[in-house]
Amino acid sequence: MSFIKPIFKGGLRVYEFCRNRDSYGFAVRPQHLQRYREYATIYKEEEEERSDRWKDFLERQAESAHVVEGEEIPTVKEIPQGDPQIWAPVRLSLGAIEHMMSHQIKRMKDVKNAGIGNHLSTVDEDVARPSRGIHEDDSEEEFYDLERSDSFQDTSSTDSVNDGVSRESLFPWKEELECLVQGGVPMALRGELWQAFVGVRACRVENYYQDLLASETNIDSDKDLDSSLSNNKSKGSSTDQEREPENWKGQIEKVIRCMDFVFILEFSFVYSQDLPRTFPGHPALDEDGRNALRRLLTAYARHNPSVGYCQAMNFFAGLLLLLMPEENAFWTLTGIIDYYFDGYYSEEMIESQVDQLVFEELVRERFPKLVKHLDYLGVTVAWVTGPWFLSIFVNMLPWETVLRVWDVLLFEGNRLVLFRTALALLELYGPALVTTKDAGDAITLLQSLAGSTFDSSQLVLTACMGYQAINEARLCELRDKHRPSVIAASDERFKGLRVSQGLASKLHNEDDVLHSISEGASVHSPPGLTEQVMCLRVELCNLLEENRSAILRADELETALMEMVKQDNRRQLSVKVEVLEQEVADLRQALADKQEQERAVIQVLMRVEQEQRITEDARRFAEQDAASQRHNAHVLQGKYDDVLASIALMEKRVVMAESMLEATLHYQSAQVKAQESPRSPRVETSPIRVNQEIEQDLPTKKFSLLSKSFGLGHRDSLMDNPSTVL
Amino acid sequence: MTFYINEEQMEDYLFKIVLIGDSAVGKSNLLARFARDEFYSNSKSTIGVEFQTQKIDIEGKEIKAQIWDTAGQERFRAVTSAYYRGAVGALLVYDISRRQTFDSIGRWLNELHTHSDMNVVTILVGNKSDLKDAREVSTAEGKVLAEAQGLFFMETSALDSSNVSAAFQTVVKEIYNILSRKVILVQEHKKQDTSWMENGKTIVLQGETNHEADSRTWRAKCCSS
Repeated sequence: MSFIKPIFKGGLRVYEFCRNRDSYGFAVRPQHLQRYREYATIYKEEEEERSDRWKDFLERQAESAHVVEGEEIPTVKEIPQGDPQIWAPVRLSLGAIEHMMSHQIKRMKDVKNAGIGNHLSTVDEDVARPSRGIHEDDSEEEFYDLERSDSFQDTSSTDSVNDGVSRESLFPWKEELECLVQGGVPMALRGELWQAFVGVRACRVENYYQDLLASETNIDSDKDLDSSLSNNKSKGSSTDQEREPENWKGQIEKVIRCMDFVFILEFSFVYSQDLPRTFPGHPALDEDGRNALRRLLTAYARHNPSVGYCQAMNFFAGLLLLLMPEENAFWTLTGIIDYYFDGYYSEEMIESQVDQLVFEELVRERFPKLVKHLDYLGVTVAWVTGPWFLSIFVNMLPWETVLRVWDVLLFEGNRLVLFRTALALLELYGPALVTTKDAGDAITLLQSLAGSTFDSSQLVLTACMGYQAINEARLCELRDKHRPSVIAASDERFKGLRVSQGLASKLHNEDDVLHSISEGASVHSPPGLTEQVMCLRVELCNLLEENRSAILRADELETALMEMVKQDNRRQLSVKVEVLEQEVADLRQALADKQEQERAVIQVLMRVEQEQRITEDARRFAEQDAASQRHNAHVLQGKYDDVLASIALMEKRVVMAESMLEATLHYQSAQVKAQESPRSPRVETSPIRVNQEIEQDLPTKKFSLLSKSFGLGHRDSLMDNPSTVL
Repeated sequence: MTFYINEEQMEDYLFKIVLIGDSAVGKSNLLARFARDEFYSNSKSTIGVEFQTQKIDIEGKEIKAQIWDTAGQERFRAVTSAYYRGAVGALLVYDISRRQTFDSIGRWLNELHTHSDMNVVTILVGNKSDLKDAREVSTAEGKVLAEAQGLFFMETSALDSSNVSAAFQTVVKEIYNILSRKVILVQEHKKQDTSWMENGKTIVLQGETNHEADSRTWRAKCCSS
C-alpha cells in the first residue's frame, strides 16, 4: 500500500518556502501573501524557541520516567509491526505524555459507555476481541488491549474517579505541558504529539484498519455485515453448497443496507467527489496521497457508519496524512470524530447545531454591543461561526493558526477551545464589525478578517487566557439547555422529509426486490437449505407486511400533512388578507389626505402664479419707465447745455450792450454838455440816434427772453407727455 | 415575497439569492465565475455557507444580488436550511454529467419550498455543459422538468463561462420584473382610488390650471376630428 510520507522526517520540513505556498505546502491566498511573508520569519523564530523548550521538557521527562515509571516505559519499544509503512509507533520520548493522555482517553470512553449503550464502542470491542486472540504474541498491543478491556470491564464510575484523583498526582508536570501546548507544538513533534494527545496507541486495534479496507475490493459488501452473516447463516454448510447461499446472501445484504445504510452509498459517492477538492494543488496530495485519503475515509465510514462521510472530514484526513503515516492518521481521525466531536458530523448534526446555539448565547453575554449591531443588520453569528466550528477552522484561518488551535484542541480533549478561539476572534474583530452597514458587508468582513489572523500566538493566548471563565462544565450546562429544541426541530424535519418525499416509493422498490429474492431463493435453494429458506420467507413476509403498513401510514400521514398545510395556508392567507385590507384602508386615507393637501397647494400655487404675473408686468412697466426717463434725462442734459451756452452768449451781449450803453450815455452827456455850450442842430438829432440805438438794443433782449421761455415750455411739454417722445 | 429596499435610495434593490444543489455540481465555481470571473478546477468543498455580493445592472438600475453559496452534502441541509430565509431567488444546480444530481432536484425543490417563500424565483441550472462526452442528462430532460415545475432553465459551464451570468441575470431580472409589476399594480390601485374618491373635483382642478385658450384649441381639435 502506498502512503504519504510524513513531512516531519528527520525533524526537517520537506516543503521549504515556495511561491504562493506556506511552509506546510498549503496555498496562501494572494491577498494574504504579503502578510504571510511578514509573519514567516516570526513563525520561524517561534518555532526555534519552542523546539528548544520542548527538547528541554522531554529530556527532563525522560530522566524522571526512568525513575518513576521505569517498569512501564520499557514495554514501549520500536517494534516493527503490521505494515511498517502505514503504521509507526510514537517515539519513545513521548511515552510519558502518551501514557498520561491515555488515562484521559480512557476516562472519556468510560463516560461515553456509562451513557446510553453506545454503538461505536461496542463495535470497537467486538473487533478488539478477535484481534487480540490473533495477535497474542504481540506484547505491546496486548498490554494496551488488556488495559483497554480492563477499563471496559471495570465499573466505570470508580475507575474514572480514581483516574481523576490519580492523574494530578501521577503527572505533576501536566501544567507545564499545558503551557507548552498553548505555546505551540514544534512541527517536528506535531504528528506524534497529536497521536499521543488523542491516545492513538490506546485506541488502536491491530489489523482493524486493514480489515476495514479489505472489504474495499468487494464494493457491494460491508465487512461487518459480511462476517456476521457468514457466521450466523453458513455455519455447517459444506463447501459445494456455499455458492448458492452466497447468491441470496449478497442480495439480502443489499436489501438490508438499502434499509439501514442508505447513507453509505451516499457517502462513497460524495467523498469521491471531494478527494481532489482536499487541499487542491498540495504537493503531497498526488495520486498516492489521494489514494491514501480515499482509503482513510472509506475505513472511517465503515468503522462508524452512523457518521459515514461528512464533508470537512476530508480536510481533517488530509491534514493528518501530512503529519503522520496512514494508519496513525486513521486512528487519530477516529479519536477526533468519535470522541472529541461525537454527534457533530452525524446525519442530523445535532451537536453542531447545539454548539452554535450555545456559542450564540455566549456571544450575547460577552459582546452585547456587537450582538445588538448584528441583530440590527439581521446577521446571525452562526452563519459565520458554524463553518468555523464544523471545519475546526481549517481553511478559515491561516494554517499556522489552525495548527496552533488544533494543538490545544487535541490536548484538551474537548471542543472548549473552539468556543474560546471564536470568542477571541470576535473580540479582535468586533470593533470593525460594528462599523458595517449591511449584512453582506458584516459577514464578508468577518470572514476575511479571520482569514488574515496570522498572529497565531496572540489568538491562541487570548483564547486560552482571556476566556477561562468559559469552561467545559459551563458548556455542558448550556448544551443541555439547548439540546432539546434542536432535537425537536430535527425530529420535525425528519418527519416532514419522510412524509413529503414519499418514503412509500422507496419501500415499494424494496418490496419488489424482496419478492424477487424470495422467488429466487425458492427456485435455486438446494434441499438442505429449505428450512432456512422457509424461515427467511416467513421473515420476509413479516417484513413485507410491515412495509405495506408503513406505506399505508406514510400515505395517511402525507394526506394529513397536506390537509394541515392547506389549512395552515388558508388561515395564514386570511390573516394576511386582513392585514392587507387594513393597510389598503390606511393607504386610501393617507391618499385622500394627500390629495386634499395637493389641491390646497395647487390653489396657493395658482394664486402665487397670478401674483407673480402681475408683478412681472409691473416690473416690465417700471423698466420701460426707467428707460424713457433715462432717455429724457439725456435729452434734457443736451438742452441744458445748449441753454447754458446761449445764456453765456447773452451775457456777453448784455455786457457789450451795457458797455455800449455806458459809452452812449457817456457820449450823450458829452453831447449835452456840448449842446449846452455851443447850441447846434446836432443836439436835436443826437437823442434820436440814442433812442434808435436803444431801440436796436431792445429787440435782442426781447428775443433772448422769448427763447428762454420757449426752452422752458419745451421742457414742460416733455415732462407732461413722455409717450410722444418715446 | 420580501424585498429589501434601501430607504434612502428607492432605486437601490437588494435581492437574496441562494445557490443549491448536490455536492460538487459546481455551485461555488458558478459563483466564483460570476462574481470574480475565476474558476478553480479543484476548488475546496464548501462547509456551511459562503457568501458574495454582486452588483447587477437591470434596465439602468443598479441591483445588488446577495448570493449565498451553500454546502451540497445531504446532511448539511439541517444547517443550511436556515440560510434560505428571506431568499427571493434560487439557482438549483445539477451536473449534466451525473444523473444522480439531476434525480435529487425534486428533493432540493422540496427543501427550498419548506424553508423559504413559495414564490421564490427559481432557475434550474444544468452545469458543466462543457463535458459533452460525459453527458448523462439531456437538455430536453432538463427543459421538461423545468417546465413541469415552473422553473426557468439554462445549461451553463463555469469552466468556459457560457451562460453563467445569463443564469444569474435571468433570476435577478425576473425578480425585478415581479417587483416592478407590483409597484405598477400599487400605483394603478392608487389611481383607481383617486377617481373613486375625488370624482369631478380633479377635473375642476385641471380646468383651472389649463389656460382657456388651450382648452379652446383642444376642444376645437376634438370637434374637427
